[in-house]
Amino acid sequence: MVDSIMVVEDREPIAEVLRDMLTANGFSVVALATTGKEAMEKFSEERPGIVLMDLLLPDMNGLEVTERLIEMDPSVRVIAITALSRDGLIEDALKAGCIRFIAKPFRMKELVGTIREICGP
Amino acid sequence: MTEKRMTEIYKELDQLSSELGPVGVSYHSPVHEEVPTFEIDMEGHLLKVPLLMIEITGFSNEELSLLSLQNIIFSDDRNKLLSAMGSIAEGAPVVIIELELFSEQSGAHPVEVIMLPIQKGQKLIGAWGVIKDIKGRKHLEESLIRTREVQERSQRFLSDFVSLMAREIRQPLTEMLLTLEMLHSGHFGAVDERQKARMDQLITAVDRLKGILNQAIETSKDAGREIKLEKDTTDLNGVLRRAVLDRMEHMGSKGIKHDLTLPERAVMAPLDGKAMQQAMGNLLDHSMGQLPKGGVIRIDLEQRNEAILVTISDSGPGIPEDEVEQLFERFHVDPDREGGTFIEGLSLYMAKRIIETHGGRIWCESFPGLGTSILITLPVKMLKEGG
Repeated sequence: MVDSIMVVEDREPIAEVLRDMLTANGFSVVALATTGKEAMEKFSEERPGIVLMDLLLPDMNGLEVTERLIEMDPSVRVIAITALSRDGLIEDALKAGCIRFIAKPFRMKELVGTIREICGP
Repeated sequence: MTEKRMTEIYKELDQLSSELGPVGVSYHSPVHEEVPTFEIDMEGHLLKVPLLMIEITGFSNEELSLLSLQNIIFSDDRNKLLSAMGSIAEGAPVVIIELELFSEQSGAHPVEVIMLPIQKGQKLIGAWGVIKDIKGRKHLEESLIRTREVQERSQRFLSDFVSLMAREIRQPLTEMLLTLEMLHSGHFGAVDERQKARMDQLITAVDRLKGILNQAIETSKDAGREIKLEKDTTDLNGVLRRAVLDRMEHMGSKGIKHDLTLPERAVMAPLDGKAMQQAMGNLLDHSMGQLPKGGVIRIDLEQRNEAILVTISDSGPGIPEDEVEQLFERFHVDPDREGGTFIEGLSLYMAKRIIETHGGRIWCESFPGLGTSILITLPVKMLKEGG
């Protein structure tokens, strides 16, 4: 059984292409969210197993949203994706509960490889 | 104080002066009615300095006339002075402190006070204060601090600006890269081989932009950082070998050959291996950038009597003479080379700083049409002593 995925990304074109890409690679994308608030609402409805979390959201910090999602469901696996490059960001993301960190821009194989890896055989 | 006592004091002082020998030209104040010791009042606000006993250097005559007998010293300085007096009383042969003398007429004077004990027979009767005006030195120190602050601020600005710019550029790059890959995979309709080849080119270009951004961020952070070396006994052979090894794949993809000549024995030296590897790596990257397909890089390490010499030579087209001089400048951009960026300039600047922080020297020799050599010397003595 392939895990269901939610994409949290404030730039819609990126969110859409991510959905297309993941679907084409056999994953089930159950929700797209462009804000932190929307992410929390859709998460509680859909309960996806994996969340791709952009750390720069218009209303909330992606790390804060990650913590809230993990509070709702500790088994969720969050992959941080970000264009930020400040020192210590990876450590902060891991502390917030993200299990992987992908820097933008990334290649399809990097993202798909990471998701397959955390889904297991 | 009676005139008789004054005369006695002068006599005593003259005698003392001849016993001590001339330390320098003494400034004799017109006002001298105190015994030859430093005195601080019970409140600690006033320093009574009998100028007769003080050698004063560095002040102009005008300033000297303004230095009053009673100079106010600040409370922090008072403690310094008391502690210096304590040291003299305990038998210190000399104590040097810095403090500020303040008088209403002349304002604050940063001074260095060199205190020496005055003994009469076996008895310690006071301290000889040599006051040196260090206004000039202080001024220089302060302007250096200010210059450094300005540099740090502009460095932070550069680093923040580059990070912000990178963040903004990475978003559309992500969109471009992912969309290109989806197009390439045929998700939006059939794609023929020619179109795929073009898309591959574009994907490579986006990857290159990503690399430039990452390098810009790292280098703009590094360029302003004070280089703090963490030295350990390190094999310089190993440092060079590793820097080359890390670039084997890249060299292979560009068809670049390399020739690494190292002494048979390890060249052990107290170096910051990581920093040195970064410096050598930056220099190798620069040389690789100079080369067309099939070019050659030679890396030599020689240990001579006085120094270690590292030479990195490439068989590239060479660099014009006026460019050679600017090669290690911070924002140097090679105007003749397609794809040359200021980032490369920054990375060479960083390499230079690392080498120089190790006490070494770096320069470039280039022969247009024949190639370029970057030469690095690291002094053996410095290395043995740990720099």
